Formats: sequence, C-alpha cells, structure tokens
Amino acid sequence: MRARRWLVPFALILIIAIFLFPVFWMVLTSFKLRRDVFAQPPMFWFHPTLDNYRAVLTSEFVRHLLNSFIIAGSSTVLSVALGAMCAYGFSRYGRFRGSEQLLFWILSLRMLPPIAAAVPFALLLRWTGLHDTHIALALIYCIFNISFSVWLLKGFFDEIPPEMEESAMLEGHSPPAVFWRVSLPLARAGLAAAAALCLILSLNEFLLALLLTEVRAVTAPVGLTRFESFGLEWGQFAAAAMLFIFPVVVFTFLVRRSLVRGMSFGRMA
Amino acid sequence: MPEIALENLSVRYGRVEAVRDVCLTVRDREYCVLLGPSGCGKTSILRAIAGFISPAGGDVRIGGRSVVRLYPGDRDVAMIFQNYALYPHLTVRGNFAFPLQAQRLPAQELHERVMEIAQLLHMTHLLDRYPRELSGGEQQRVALGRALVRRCPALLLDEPLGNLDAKLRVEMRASLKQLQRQLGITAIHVTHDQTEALALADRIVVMNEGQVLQVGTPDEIYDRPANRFVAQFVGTPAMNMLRCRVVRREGAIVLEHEDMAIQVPPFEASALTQRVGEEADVGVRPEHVRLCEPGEEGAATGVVVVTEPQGNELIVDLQVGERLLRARGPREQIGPFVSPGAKVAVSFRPERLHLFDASSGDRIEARA
Repeated sequence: MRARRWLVPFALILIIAIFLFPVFWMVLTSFKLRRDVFAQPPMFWFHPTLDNYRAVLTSEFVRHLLNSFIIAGSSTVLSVALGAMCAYGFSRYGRFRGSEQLLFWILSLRMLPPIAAAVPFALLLRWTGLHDTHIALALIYCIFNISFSVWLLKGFFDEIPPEMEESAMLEGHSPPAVFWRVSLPLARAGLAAAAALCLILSLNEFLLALLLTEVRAVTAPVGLTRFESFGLEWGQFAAAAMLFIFPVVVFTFLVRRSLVRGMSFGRMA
Repeated sequence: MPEIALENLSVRYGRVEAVRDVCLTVRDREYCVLLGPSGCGKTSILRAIAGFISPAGGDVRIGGRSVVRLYPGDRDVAMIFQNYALYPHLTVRGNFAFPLQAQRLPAQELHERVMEIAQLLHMTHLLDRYPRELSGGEQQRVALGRALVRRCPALLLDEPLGNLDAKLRVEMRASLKQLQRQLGITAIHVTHDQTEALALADRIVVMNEGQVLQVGTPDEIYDRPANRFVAQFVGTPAMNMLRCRVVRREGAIVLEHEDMAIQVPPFEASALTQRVGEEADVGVRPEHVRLCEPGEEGAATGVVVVTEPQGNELIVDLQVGERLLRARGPREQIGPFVSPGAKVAVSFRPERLHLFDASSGDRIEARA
C-alpha cells in the first residue's frame, strides 16, 4: 500500500520528464552557439547566447509567425462564433428528421484526410484568386474547426438546465437575448476549450499551409522548414520554434481547466 | 386582476397524454396548490401556463385574456423552479436585476427596485455574493426575489421547497404564504408533499394521471375526500382501507370484513341500503382508529407489531386477522398498554368512516 503511494507520483514524474525532455533540449539548443549544438558528448553546461534569437527576429520568420497568428486567430474566432450558434441550434431545436445525419455529416468533414482535399482546394483557390492569401487558409481551417467546435459546444449546451433559459424567457428576454446573456455565459468553459483546441490545431497545421501558400501567407510551421536552406542552423531553428510555441503554451496554461472539460465534451465537472 | 383559468386544457408529449381535459379556475389572490404523485401532470400544467409547452387542446386565460399564443415573457407571470435556476455567472444583485433589464428600466429605477426586493427578503448584505457562495435557503430566497422583482400579479411555484431540509422548509413555507398575502399575488404551487399542500393552500387541487380528482379547501380534502385515491394520498400515515361486504343484520346495516363487523351510524347507513350484498371500501384515518385495553368492547382484537413514537403521539402498526392496520393516538392515552406483541381491542369512530364504491372508488355520499 505504502509502496503504491510513492510509485504513482514517481511514475508520473518519470513520464512527464520523458515527454518534456525534447522541449527542454530545444530550449537549451536555442541558446547554444553553432559549435556547441553538435558537441559530443552533449553539453548541458555551455556559454549561452542570444545570437539565435537575434537572427530569427531579423529574418522573414517574424512575418511567418505573424501570419500564423492572424490566420489561426481569425479562423478560431470565426469557428467558435459560428460553431456556437450551430451547436445551440442543434442542442435546442435539433429534433427534426435527419438531424442526426446532419450532425454526423458535420463531424465527417473532420474525418477527411487533408491531403485528399488538397488538390481540389488548390484548384478552387486558383480560380477564386485566393491562392497564397490569409483569408484562404483561415476559411479552410474553419472547415475543420467548425465541425469540431459544433460537436464540442453541443455537449456544453446540452448540459445547461432548461430552466435557466425558460426562466429568462419568462422574465421577458427574447430568444437572442437568452442565447447571448444566459446560454453563452453558461457555456463559457466550452467556448474557452473550443477556442484553445481550434487555435492549437490551426497553428500546427502544416500540409495545407505548405501546399496553398508561397510567399505572402506562409505560416510558421512552413517557415520553420526554410531554416534548412541556411545549412543546418539548429540553434536558429530551435529559437524560432520557441517563439512559435511560447504564446500557445501561455494560452493553454490559462485555459487548462476548460481544456480538460472540453476534451471530455463537457461531461466532467 | 389576474384570475387564472384553465379551460379543457390538454397536454401531450408524443403519444403520452400528460394532462387530460383539465378545467380549473384559480381566483384572484388565491394560493392554489396542485397536489399529486410525480408524473401526474401537475408540472405540465404549470409549464403550459408559463408557455414553455403549448397545449394540445384547450385554453389558458390569465385575467380573462387567452395567453396560449403569447411568448412566455408577454404573459405577465413569474415562476420559481425547483432547482432555482439562478445564474451562476451573476451576483445576487445581477440575478435580481436580470428580469428588470428586459424591461429597459432607467438605471436609477432599476437600482431602487433591486434594493426594494433585497430589503423585503432581508438580503441587502448578500447582494455582491455569487449563488454558489450562498446556503440552500439563501439561494431559495434569491429565486423568490427574482420572481417577485417584476411585480407580476401571478406566481407559479414548481416544488420550490423540495431542495430544502425539513426545518428550513417549514420556515420558508410560512414566509411564502405571508409574502403572498402581503403582496396580493395569485399563486399556483406544485408539490407532491401533502403536508406542504395542507399547510399552504387556500384551495388544493388533487391530481392523478393527468386528471383533476378533487378541488377543495384543505379541510374539505382531508375530511371529505372525493374518492379512494384522494383519501389515501392525503394524510400521514395513509388512511386504512378495508374492503367490506354490506349486510343487513337485525335491521341495521353492518359492514363485514373478515372477522370484523363495523357498525354504521344510521345517517350513513341510508346511503348503503341499496347496496346490501355488495362490496364497499371503508376508509379510516389512523387517528380515528380507537385502541383500548383488551377485554373492552371493540370491533376486533389486534396484535401490536411496531410502534413509532412521534413525540406526543404514537403511530401503531396492528395485525388484525390477515390485515395490517395503522393507528395513531396520544401517547399518554394509549402508551401504557400499547407495546409490540401486546393485544389490544380495536374499534373505529363510526362518525369518521369514509365509504367508497368498491369498483369506481368514488365516495358514497349519504343522502339527506
């Protein structure tokens, strides 16, 4: 019994250490000089430098980073806003013929491997003149994000006791006011979770960004690959990656509670 | 002033008929309690009045005006829900102000109205708390305040005391009734708790299976239940019910039950003369079962199975022949000779018998 009490935290720490080690190594690498990066044996103690960050911050990568946040941010806002309305509709008025099929169809959009749609997307964007634009990527990410946020938020709306809304209706609030002032605030945890997950998924997206952008709308994951062209600049690569993940880590930390609830579709208190 | 009238109201959920053809008029300023077991349709009636469900048939009139086509917010009724439906993201102040914000009152007036209701309910010191920081009783008062703040003349209450502990329930019961009187509100209160109904109501409506079985004052319901269901639903412990045969013996009408013979006073007997040879149900409230020391004259002899002390009273379970009877009496009087295993003489107070038709369950009235 006593042994088990120690074993579980110990095992957890070990697992966390294994998972965090690459990140830790990346942090170290981002502060290393070029010659220290490949030193054998690997160096834990070295003379730190900010050269890598300086190099990255004066390179094109700053624009890629900005592109990433513009595209992922706008896609997230749009997906959560539209997803919330759609989810609310399904949750409150979703008992019509074929509603389950419709809901499943929305989910099935997410099951499509992006590569299968890449060529049609590329053609579509060329015809509409949206190739290599921010708005194109943002809208395409919405396809995946909306289906996700509809499902996630429907779980949250389903759990709101109907009396909450009935009471507001009886008190004279119109249905849109009830949605805005009662249902949305009560689903706040869901909105945060949906936003976090949409943001992370759009920021990480690589394949479509690689195929559908060239210069103007290049995102950070695609931009990272271009560090190879300077030879193997692992220090700069690591510094760029650090800049990329830092805002996501902060945001995720802020909404971590909602995130756990969101992962379980609102089923967890 | 609002009189709430239900005219042949029916409510359906799919194929299930939850409320069947109910007619009821709740008078202005009346405290009306809908009483019945769960699933009897009482809450459906409330929801139809509020406008959360549309009736399958019939009409709901509030103050003479048909409201079935109106949006809930336009019906001028307030409601308290069993789970209170407080908004967790708003403070007590925000919860009180919420209904007023729909009316777009000027800020100053809104503030005054919130303070007025907080003072009425003695909650001014709690205005900046969130609902989760309040006790159950305080939450209940917030729900009450939110219902009263709009000054609606009609108030619907759906099991409003169900989530409170026993002591608080009795306290809130008294203040509910006092507020209703003071503010001159027409109230419709739904409950399955018959003590609550008897304590609060001006008139009780007893329901079962979507139908109204009896409407009357608490005394009428208790003293003259219209049928077997009402008789057994109202009153604790429940009324004893004995299936008897009506016989004529030496010129008098007697009700025979196994090895008991129950005398019927002449007045009630007149209603039974045509039923000689038939069966009838005899109801006796536990407090009308008289227990005496063995040897004294009684309808039967019983054996005490369990006694349940209730402070000044004693509830006694008796085995009489094959039957279990419940009796209730002052402890001082019956306590000395009633103990488990003891034999007692059992008799019924004849003027307190309730007679019901064996097949329909309707009350058999003595005709003058």
